[in-house]
Amino acid sequence: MNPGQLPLGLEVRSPSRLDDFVFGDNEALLQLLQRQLQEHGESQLYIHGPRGSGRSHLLLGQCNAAREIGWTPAYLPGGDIATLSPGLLEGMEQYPLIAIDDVERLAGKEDWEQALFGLFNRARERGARLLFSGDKPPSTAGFDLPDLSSRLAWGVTYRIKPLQDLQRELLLIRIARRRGLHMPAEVARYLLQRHSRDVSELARLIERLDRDSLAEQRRLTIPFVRDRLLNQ
Amino acid sequence: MNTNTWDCLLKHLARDIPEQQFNTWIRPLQCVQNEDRLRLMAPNAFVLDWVKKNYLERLRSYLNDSGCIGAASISLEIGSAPRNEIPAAPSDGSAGVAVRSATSSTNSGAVSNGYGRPLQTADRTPAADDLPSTNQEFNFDTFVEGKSNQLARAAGIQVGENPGRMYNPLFIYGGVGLGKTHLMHAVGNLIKHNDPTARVMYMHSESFVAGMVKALQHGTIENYKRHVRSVNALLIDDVQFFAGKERSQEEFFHTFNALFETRQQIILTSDRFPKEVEGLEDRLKSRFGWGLTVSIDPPDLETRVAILMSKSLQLFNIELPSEVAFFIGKHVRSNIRELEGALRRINANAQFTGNEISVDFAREALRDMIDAQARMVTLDNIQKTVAEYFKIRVSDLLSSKRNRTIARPRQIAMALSKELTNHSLPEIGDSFGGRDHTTVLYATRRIAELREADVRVAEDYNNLLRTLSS
Repeated sequence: MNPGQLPLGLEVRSPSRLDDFVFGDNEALLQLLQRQLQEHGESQLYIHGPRGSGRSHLLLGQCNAAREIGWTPAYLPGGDIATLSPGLLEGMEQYPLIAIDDVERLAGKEDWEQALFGLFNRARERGARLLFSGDKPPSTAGFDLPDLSSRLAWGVTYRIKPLQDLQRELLLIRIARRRGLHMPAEVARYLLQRHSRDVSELARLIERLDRDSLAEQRRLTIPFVRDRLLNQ
Repeated sequence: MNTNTWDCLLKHLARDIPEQQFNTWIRPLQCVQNEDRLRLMAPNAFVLDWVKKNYLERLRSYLNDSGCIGAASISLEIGSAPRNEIPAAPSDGSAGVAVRSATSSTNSGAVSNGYGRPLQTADRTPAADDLPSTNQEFNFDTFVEGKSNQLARAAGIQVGENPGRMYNPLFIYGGVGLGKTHLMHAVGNLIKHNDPTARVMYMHSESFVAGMVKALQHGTIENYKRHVRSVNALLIDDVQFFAGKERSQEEFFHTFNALFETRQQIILTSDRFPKEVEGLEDRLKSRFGWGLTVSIDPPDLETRVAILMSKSLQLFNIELPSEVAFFIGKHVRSNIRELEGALRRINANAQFTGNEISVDFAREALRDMIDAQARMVTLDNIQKTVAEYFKIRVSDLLSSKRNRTIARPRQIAMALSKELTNHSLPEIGDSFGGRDHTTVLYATRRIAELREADVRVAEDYNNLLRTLSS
């Protein structure tokens, strides 16, 4: 088999945006996010859903939307920062929007819980908007500090409803498009029927398909995808 | 001003760094350009060090090689770019206090970040003398009175009318989210209402500590002391967070004495009775008990309903039907914050769908929460949770043992079963080793009496109630 051309390490990567997100039955969530950036909008939103439900995309998209109206948001991914010093949260209340992704990753760590509690109070005093995401609702996210747990449940809590099949197809097509890759609907359907339906895994698969199609100079067709799935 | 250089650098970095890292470390930096120097402001020392270690070289190389012209050098410092606008107050009365002057040392030059478009300032008491001020939304008009907070409210009004004279300090304690902070602000606002020149300072204990640490770092501790001791009323929230912070306790001890001796009012809140706050020096604990100590208990159903109806009007200008308020109140028992969270969720759904708020609508909006709670609140789970809490076995609860270490938890478990489930008294009795329904009735009455008379029983009961219903 022809090993094909090795693709350059450069990837087309566009920032996550809310209008790229397939909301499906979660249109109310879009409205909540939009309202959060308006005058007198929700001061606090907590979004929860399983892994792969697009929480990080939503938070990054909201940060981008905030920037478009001239705000400087802070984005803090719980999984990445949990191993660092909680001093990272000092002064963060100066940002008008503070988005904390995978907040449950900070649960059970006494110093982080205290620091998050402190940030919460300072942010509310300053009138900053708070946006959280987690894999569980606040009450079962595993926080030991009851003061923090009750504060996380203060604002609107929204559970992401899973996408239906047609919406998932649309999502795959959009993920591919963000990479500059054209994915026909029948290919998206084919993938959904034969691969894990977990969106994170599908996104990784698309990333591989993107590299392979570039290396082999082939378009995304069912035979090509079938071949890749067989050889993975 | 010219912000193009920074924008140009951002474009280059966005291609190089994964999106999440870019948004965590680079995008929040605020840039001030002074002639040919880019000053990047980090919110704290940790971010500054991280950026310096991981990204500064790359930024400098872009400045030289990428065609991002307009600046010759880049420096990093802690601070924020000056700005004039803040977001309008959120819909819930959470502050939105006016942003004070920038923390960066100089304000000249180009500003490339900030809060952007002009928005209204929040409804806060003007902080003319730069005191962290009270939130006017939290006043006695919006504080719903019930059996659980009657005494605390009455004491608060007395203190507000006679600051520094009647009860000093006023110490308010109770579980999370029960309205301690609201009451504290209400007293502060009443003091200012009666005497607009009164200097009232509200601070969370964590802010007190942070302010002191910063003052120590900058060698301005004497100014800080003068500042805190110059007030007519000092309101410190959640004093339990002073635990283990010896230097802060020392400073607070002297502040307390200075204010007390000059008959300035002190108001404190905590999640527990002064003597039971662990990690606090005895001399502080004893001073905390010098004035009046009042508790706020979890609200009963009627009070929860009244709170919901009041909040609905206050937050959304909607008259919540009483049957809906009763429905929410029955399902959300843990604290007022969660009550408010549930109300917000229902209101958001109603706004989106355009539907009227009815019991069915509320049930649908809160369905996942109610389902999770139903899974949690079974007779078996109540017994298991109570047994774990008191470190006894479930079989002890079901046994015929009558010694107090077993009988009291059993009575509490029965009372919780009656409050949290719809099982009949005979069913509850049956599940506790085949006891009679009159035993259940006696247990619930006994626990109701003990919750009034014994702080420990009340605390145990409330802790268990919170665990089982949150």
